[in-house]
Amino acid sequence: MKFGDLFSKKLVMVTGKGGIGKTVVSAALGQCAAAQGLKTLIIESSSRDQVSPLFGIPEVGHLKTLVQPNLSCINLTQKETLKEYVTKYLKQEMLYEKIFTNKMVESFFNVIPGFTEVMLLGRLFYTCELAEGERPDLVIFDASASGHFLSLMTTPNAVQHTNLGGPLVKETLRVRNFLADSTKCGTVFVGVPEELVVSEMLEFIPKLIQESPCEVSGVILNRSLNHIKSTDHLSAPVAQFFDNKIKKADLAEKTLRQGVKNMGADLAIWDLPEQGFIEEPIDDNLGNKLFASYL
Amino acid sequence: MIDDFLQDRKVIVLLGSGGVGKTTSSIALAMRAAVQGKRVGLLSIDPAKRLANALGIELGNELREVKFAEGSDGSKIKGSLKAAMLDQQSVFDSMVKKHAPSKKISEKILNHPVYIAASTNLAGPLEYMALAKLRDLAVDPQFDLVVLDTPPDTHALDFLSKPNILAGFFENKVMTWMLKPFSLANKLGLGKLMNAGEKMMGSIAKVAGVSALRSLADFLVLTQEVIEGFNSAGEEIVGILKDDKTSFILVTVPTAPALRSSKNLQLLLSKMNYSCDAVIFNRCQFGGSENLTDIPDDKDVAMEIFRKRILNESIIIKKLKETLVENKQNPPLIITVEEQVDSINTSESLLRFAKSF
Repeated sequence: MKFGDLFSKKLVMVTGKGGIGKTVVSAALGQCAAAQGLKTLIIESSSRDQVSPLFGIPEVGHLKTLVQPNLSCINLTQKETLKEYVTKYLKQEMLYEKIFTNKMVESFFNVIPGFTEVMLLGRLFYTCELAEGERPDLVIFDASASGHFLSLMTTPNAVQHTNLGGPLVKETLRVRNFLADSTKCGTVFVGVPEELVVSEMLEFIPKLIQESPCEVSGVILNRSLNHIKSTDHLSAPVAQFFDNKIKKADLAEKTLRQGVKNMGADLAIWDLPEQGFIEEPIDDNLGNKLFASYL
Repeated sequence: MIDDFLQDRKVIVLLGSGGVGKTTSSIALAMRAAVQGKRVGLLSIDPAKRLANALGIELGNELREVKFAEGSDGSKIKGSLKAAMLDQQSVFDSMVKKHAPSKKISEKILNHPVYIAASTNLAGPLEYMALAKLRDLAVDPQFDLVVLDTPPDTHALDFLSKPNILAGFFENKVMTWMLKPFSLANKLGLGKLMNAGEKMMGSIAKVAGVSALRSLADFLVLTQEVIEGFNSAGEEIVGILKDDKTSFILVTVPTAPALRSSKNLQLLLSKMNYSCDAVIFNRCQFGGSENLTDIPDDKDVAMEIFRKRILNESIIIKKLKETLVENKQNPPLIITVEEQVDSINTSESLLRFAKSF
């Protein structure tokens, strides 16, 4: 797959090990898509906003907010997702006001196995395919870390096999089919060129390919040092620092490329150059800077 | 400094967002205390099983002795280290067995579809499990110090605000009561539900489906006694977490998102009256020293990366220190740890890492 092909989809989900820059990658992807004229929405589902602070604005929560031309972000909390579902899907506004604002009711939903997961996926589907009014051309989902993401993605299949039934569970078949449509949905896996991270990736990606209905479209290798061509001119401690790092990173990247090849999966690997530090708010042009060689 | 700190601690809980080196730091602290002569218990919930690989033993729910030498000459350490890696399913199962009133009921629970779905598929209860185990170890006289590694921050927050075991999972007895009609009158339709509580449940059923609620109801009635057992353990855990000899340690890295998350964690800790006594800054360049900030503003790619990294690192460390001082009278111990270029994947490299604290 070519990098640009990602932008012909409706939904791109970004996952990977914790702390390796998933959110920054999601934001940068969003910037690239928006710069190409696509109306882009970055969705996250976190207890506190991770995306909006990157654009230097106060937390937006469930309020879709424009952060750059063509680019918006939103944080779908569980509570808001439930509200949307009851009022928009089931058209039961009164019911929601009377019943679902009750704190205890909320905790009921927390214990119904798979319910919150299915609802979140349903909300992604709804935003991409069904929402009334203007729908985004592309949704970037800044998803949870790999382990949680895998359990999220296995829920649509899992609930089909329980005896739980109910309107939402029935709905998941449609959601599953949407996720499984590779012309519309894809997953990118973010990693860094470090030995341990790479070995975890090589263990995890086949699992994701096998168990998630959604296509794994490619791997983004963040904090790559490939753009540093020479360290000869640097002072001794700095040069030593880079030499050692570059050597390790090269090895890790080779292991990754070989491992992906051995998997037999047709996975692109996109390198993003190390920036040293990502300041907040991020540069309006960060997307172009990171993905320059693929645009 | 770190050795003085470890000296009189009984329980240490490490908190931090994903990927900041919590698990590695918790092993390092545990090893360091064992070298000092302490009998240490270490509880980890590292899903990648890196801890087990690094220590070269199969880790499971039961504590196992971890043997390692203090020096390259193979000299023995003074204390001891026992470690366990908690896996959700088996801790869960053993707690059901412990609290269920009879073997028959425990079998029924273990085979219930809701239980199977909740205990295997879903994220969440693991942190509660870890706390239950923490309690067992903290009262066990064979340990001087217990070190607990926790899941990434959003979940850690949940368990700190609601340390009742499974509090988020089965809320309370009222819930069981509300669901009872579904269990008792299994064949009744929604129209038959009369009182206010039942009406409420009927509305929920419109969304979640009647059979989901029935199944849940059966399950809750079945597990009532188990839940009570879980909850009473929760009270004891709060006591342990608030004890003077318990310390929370924030683990972080010098990046902007990690700063945000650790500020948030620190704030929540102080709101809940838990004491954050130390911060570990992993992955610093040159140990976070500030005397390297005088780097020329070069157009070279590598120099630019280096300069940005060093400058911002010291800014981040300074900002977090300020937050800590704002929220606490005694500024906590700050430990900066240099970035490790070599992978930490053997007990020797772990001990080397521990010594760099």
